Amino acid sequence: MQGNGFKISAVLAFVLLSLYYLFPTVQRTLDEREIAAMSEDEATAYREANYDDLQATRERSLNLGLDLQGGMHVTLEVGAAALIRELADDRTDETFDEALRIAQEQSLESRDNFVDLFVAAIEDVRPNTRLARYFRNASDEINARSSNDEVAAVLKVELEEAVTRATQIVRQRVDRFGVTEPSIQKQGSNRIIVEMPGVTEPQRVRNLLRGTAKLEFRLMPDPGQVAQVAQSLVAYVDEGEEAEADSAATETEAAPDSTAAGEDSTTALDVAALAEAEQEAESAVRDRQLSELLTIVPGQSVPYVGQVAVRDTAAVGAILRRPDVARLIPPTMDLLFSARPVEGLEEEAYWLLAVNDRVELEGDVVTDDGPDFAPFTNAPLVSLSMNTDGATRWAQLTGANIGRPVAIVLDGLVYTWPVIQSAITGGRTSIEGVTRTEAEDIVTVLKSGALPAPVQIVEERTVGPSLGQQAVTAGTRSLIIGFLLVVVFMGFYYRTAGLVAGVALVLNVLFIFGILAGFGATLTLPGMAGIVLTIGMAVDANVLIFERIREEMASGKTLKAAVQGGFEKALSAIADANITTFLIGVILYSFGLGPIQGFAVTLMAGIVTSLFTALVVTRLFLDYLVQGRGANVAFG
Amino acid sequence: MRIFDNAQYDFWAKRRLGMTISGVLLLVAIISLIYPGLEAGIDFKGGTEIVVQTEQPLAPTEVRAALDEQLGAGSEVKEYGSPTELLIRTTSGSGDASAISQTIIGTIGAAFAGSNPEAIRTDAVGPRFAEDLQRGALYAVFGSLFVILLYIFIRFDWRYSLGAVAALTHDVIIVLGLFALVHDLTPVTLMLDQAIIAALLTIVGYSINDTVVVFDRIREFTQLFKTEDFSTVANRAISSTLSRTILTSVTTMLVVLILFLFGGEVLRGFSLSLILGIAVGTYSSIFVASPIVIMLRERYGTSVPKLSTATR
Repeated sequence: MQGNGFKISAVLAFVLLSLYYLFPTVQRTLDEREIAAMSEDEATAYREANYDDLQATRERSLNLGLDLQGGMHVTLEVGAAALIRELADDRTDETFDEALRIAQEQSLESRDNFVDLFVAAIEDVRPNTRLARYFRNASDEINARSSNDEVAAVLKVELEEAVTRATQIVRQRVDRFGVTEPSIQKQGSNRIIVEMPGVTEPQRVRNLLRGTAKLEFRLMPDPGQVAQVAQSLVAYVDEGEEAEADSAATETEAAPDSTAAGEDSTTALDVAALAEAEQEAESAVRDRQLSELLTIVPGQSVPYVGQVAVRDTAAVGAILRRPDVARLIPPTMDLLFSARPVEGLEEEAYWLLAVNDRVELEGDVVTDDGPDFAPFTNAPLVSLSMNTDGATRWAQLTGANIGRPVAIVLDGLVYTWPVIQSAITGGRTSIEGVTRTEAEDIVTVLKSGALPAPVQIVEERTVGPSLGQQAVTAGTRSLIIGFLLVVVFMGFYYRTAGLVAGVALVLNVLFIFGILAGFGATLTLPGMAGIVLTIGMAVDANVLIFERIREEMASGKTLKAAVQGGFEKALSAIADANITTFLIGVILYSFGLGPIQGFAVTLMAGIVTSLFTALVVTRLFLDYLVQGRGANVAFG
Repeated sequence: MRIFDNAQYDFWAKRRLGMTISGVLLLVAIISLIYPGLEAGIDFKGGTEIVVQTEQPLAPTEVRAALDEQLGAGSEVKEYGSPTELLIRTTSGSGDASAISQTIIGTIGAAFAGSNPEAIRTDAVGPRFAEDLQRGALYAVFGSLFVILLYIFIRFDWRYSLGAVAALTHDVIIVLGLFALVHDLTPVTLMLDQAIIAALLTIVGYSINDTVVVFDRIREFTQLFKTEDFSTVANRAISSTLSRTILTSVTTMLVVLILFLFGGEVLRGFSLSLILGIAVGTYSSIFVASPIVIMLRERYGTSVPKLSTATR
């Protein structure tokens, strides 16, 4: 027993430390149980009264992964291609477009920086192209004589900054949305990981995250002309379907610049996948006629193309983006969907509207905005104030177009298209036809500023709160049953020593949770599986030791000497076996993502704690029983 | 209680049996990896997977028919744990998470009145992101094999190192093969995804754990019984660690079985591969890793394994 004082204090210290770190978690569980028993009003009052305390325990308690508490995990990608297009001057040409397209294709396969791919592509398409000619206005550092390398360096910095800015903007939006404990991180060169526990409105969050806050005021074309375009579109597409027209030939032609519905609002998971996905969508609707998808409502005073059922919007968008179809739409006209569904219909459907290609005013003139309510109807709206320049232009625009509708377009969706009654001076206007939450979200997006480049959701995982609760129950149940079975089995097989191992196992589990809480790690469902697995594997070290002790006893040693020898001889096997498994954990952690990292963390924590409990805790107990009490410990 | 007390089995004599079993298993595994092949989940292929909860039970085939009309063929519908929960997986459509899950919910709601569908879990992975995940998984699997190769080489010598990695590769291939073989036959969702990769690495970790314990004993015994044949020594080492090997397998198998039964639908594929892996891993450390070390030693000299700090 000599020299065990240090070990005993170490074990006690770890136990106390674990309990200290786990205390807030226990407190939180108790709080939540208490709150759950109250009525709703009481709960709200209680929450307000104890806000600080609750917040403190919440922050210090064991983090549960999104798969356990429910919520949303989104990976956003900042569109490098779109950013480069944005940075370029207006005088881009076919070489530029072609290079951008090639770079986009290559970025699927390559890990290289997008800017490098683009530069390589443009030099490939037309050797000796000077990049400076496209980016003269992108930065002060670029002038007509800048070399391609210099331009590329500037573009890289811009891209880097865009991602950082986008991360900040996303953070602002999420904070304003009111998520408790969100996590927003930059990942790699152009991705942002957003974790939002407890979010139950995925659609709203998606729009909020992706919204580029591109606000535009546009006039609308003559309804008669739009009706003609609508008819020619239907006629062309449907005839094409019937005749099985070989659209492949026309598709290779360059697409006109102003294409189609919802181009800005394209929300595909991946830019490059879009083309492929579109073709799939196209082939899926190949046998469906446009007249079936698009309901034309004749005799309108507003330039409506028609109504599209919600489930067909993607298909119609795909048809309209087809180059051969896009050619039928006059270049001065853009076809966009309405943001809100058509009123008074049984099935949810949206207007497809025609707006002018020309943007009269943009969001940059807006100085202030806020959610508000219409004076008489009390309908929610977003009120906007413009700066002097904007106010003057808005007054001119409205003055010159009395009696005509003006479209207010946000991120490629038409929110309202009021008919101008009189010239509006003073620069105030509003976005109507929104719900209250929509009004709040639009303000959030407008206030946080426009994203420097469009972002796309490349990964999304949503878990409902009930499913999370189920996972917690399942995980806890497996943990308890697994634990009990192992302890019973060990006691049965090794008798007294087995029970000692059982005690060590209790401490082991306590330490694992303590480590997780202490290091602020996140417990996920795979993580819980990792703990369960650790329980099964943790006894391995004990088994190795006990088997050795049995061997030593069989060779005729005294119990005391056998225990001593058993631990010593088992050490090298235990060390090698655990180090290799730990290395696997490290690899799993470095290459895995999300929940899998949670698994790796518990696996590693489990190895460390099981080494400690087997070599120190079990040893202490055995030493105490054998040497301190002189007990005849049975090893089965 | 004691099992295998003073066990003296001649594993080396049974090596041909072991090789035959491993050979057959490997053959079956490789064939089923080619056909029917492993099905990649959306993690590695890209696509959308949602779990839809409805108020009344719906027949997966009918739901599938309804969805095919909207999304084109290619979506997959399965019951998920309970009759009112359906797992729907699709790679078709415009690739947009929100659009697809909306379309699915809308279609089910329209086709089955009163079903009141609700998405309780959504996973959507873009194709490009999926490619990154795939790369990460490959790096992880090969990286771990390489690290083990290196570690065992440093702690033992190259023969042990090769024997261990051969056994691990054997385990990974067989588990993947069995996975491919049964994935159509079981009601459990068996798809190659991130969780399965994690399971594979855990199996690698478990199997190497087992193997190292045996190696350690072989190394110890070669110091003790210098005059004896290496195969005899190795055989004795396997025999004397046998009870530990079996015992640890039993406790680990117990908890993994519990995970399979009580861990819920999400962990089912994961725990099933662990069950397979622990069985194969335990077997391989006895019948694959050690025989290979013996054969390599008989073939390439009999240098004494490095004496390291661990041999006390």
